[in-house]
Amino acid sequence: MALLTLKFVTDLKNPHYEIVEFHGELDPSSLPGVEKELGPILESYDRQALIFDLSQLKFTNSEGIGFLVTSHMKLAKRKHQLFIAALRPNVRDVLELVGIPRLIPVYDTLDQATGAVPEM
Amino acid sequence: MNFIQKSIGRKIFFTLLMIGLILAASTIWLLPPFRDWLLYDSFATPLQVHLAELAPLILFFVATVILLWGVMAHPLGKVFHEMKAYLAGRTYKKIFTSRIDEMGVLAHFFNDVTRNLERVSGMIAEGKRMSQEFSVGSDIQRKILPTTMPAIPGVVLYGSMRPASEIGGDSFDIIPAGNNTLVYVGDVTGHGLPAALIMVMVNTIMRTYSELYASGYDILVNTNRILKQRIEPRRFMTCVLLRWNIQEQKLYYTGAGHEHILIYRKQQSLCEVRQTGGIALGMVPDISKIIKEELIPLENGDCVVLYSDGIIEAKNIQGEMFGIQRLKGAVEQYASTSTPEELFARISKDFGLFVGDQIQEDDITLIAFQKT
Repeated sequence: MALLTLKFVTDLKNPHYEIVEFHGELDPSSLPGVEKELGPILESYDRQALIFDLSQLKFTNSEGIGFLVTSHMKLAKRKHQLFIAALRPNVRDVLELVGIPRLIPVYDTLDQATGAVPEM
Repeated sequence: MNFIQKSIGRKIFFTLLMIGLILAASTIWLLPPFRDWLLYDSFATPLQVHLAELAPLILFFVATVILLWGVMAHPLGKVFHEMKAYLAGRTYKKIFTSRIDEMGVLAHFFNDVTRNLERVSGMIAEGKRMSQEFSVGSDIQRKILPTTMPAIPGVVLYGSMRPASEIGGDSFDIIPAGNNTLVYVGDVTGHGLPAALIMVMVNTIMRTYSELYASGYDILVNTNRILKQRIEPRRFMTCVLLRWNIQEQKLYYTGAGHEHILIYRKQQSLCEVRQTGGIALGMVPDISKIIKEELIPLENGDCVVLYSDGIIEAKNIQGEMFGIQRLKGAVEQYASTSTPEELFARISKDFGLFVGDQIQEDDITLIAFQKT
C-alpha cells in the first residue's frame, strides 16, 4: 500500500498562493486520504493560485491524474488556478502522455511556479 | 439471586439443598411421632413402616428428577430439536428465552449463529447474482470487441484485449466506414465496472460518429464533447485512432493522450516511437484546438503497433516493469518475419514469460497493423 503525505507551506511574504508538497506515491490506495485532506481546502480556497509541489512524488497513475484534473476543475470553477511544479521524470512522462500540460500549467521548478502567480 | 440464575449447576445445587433441608427437618421432627403413630395406633405392618420411613428419600428423588427435567432436559430438548431441524435442512425456529444461565447462552448462541448464517447466505446469494450480472456484462463487452479481423485492402491487422477482471476499461475496435477503416485503442481510467461502462459508452459514440464524419479528428472531437458531458472529471479515456484510407492507401492517426505508437520500419529493421499527443477524452469540453490528425507514411511491410499501458506497466516477480523498451525490442525482433497475428502471439509469449505468475493488475490490449 502506497503512502503519501501532504505538507502545506504558506509563504508569509506572499498572500497570493499556497504550496502543497506531495511526499510518496499518488495511486488508488493513497488517493482517498489525499481527497479527504485536500477536498475541503479546494472547495474553500481563496488565494489566486494553489501550487502542487510534486518534487517528492515518486509515482502516479491514471487515478492520480484524475485527481489532479478534478482539483484543477474545482479551483477553475471559482476562478482560481492550479499550478504543478517540479515533476520527477517518470511522473512528467505520465502527465505529458495524457496531455495534462495542455490543461494545467506545469513548471520545471517551484521558483518558476511561484514566479508565475499573478499578483492581484 | 442473580448469582444462582446465571448457572444451572448452582440452581440445581441450591434447590436440592433447600428440598434436602426441608426433608431432613421433616424427618427429624415429624418422622418419629408419625412412626409411633403407625406402629402403635394405625396397626401398620413393619413393611409399611419402613416404606413410610423411606418416604422423604423417595420424595427427594422425585423432586430431583422433576428438577433435572424441568431445568435441563426439557429446555435442552427444545434447543436440540431446533438444532436438529437446522442440521437436517428443515425449517427451524428462533428459541425464545429469558434465561441467562448456560441454557439461555446456548439458546442465544443458536439464535445468533443461525441469524448470521442467514445473513451470510443472503450475501452469498447476492454475490452470485452480481457475479452472474458481471458475467452478462462481460459477454456484452466481449461482443463489442472485434472477434474476427476483417479483410482490408492494403493492410493486415490483428488485435485483442484481455481484461484484468471480468470486465475492463480497455477497448479497441475496427470500424469499416466507406473509404476508410478506423482502428482505435482506448484505455479508461482504472478498470472494472466503472471503466467498462465508459468503454461501452465511448464505443457507441465512436461507432455513431464514424458514420457521420470522415476524419479521425472530427470523430474524436465530437466523441470527447459528448463524453465530457457524461462523466465526472476524474474519469477519462486515453485513445489513439488510426484511419486507413483504402483509396489513398495511407494511414492517418489522431492521438488523445494515449501511449506511444510503435512504427516498425521494415527497410531499416527499426522501431520508431511516436508520441500520440493531444489530450485524453473527457477531460475538457473542447479538444478541437488540442488534437490533430497526422499522416504516418508507411512502406510495404511496415508495421504499426498500438497498445495500452497494461502491457508496459505489468511487473514481474522482482517488481520490474515490462516497459516500452522490451515491447519495442520484441517488435524489432519479430515484425520482419511475422504476420500481425504471429507478431501478437510472439509478443504475448514474451510478455507471459516475463510476468510469470504475477497477477494481471490492469487490462491489456495490443493491436498490430501491417501494410502489405
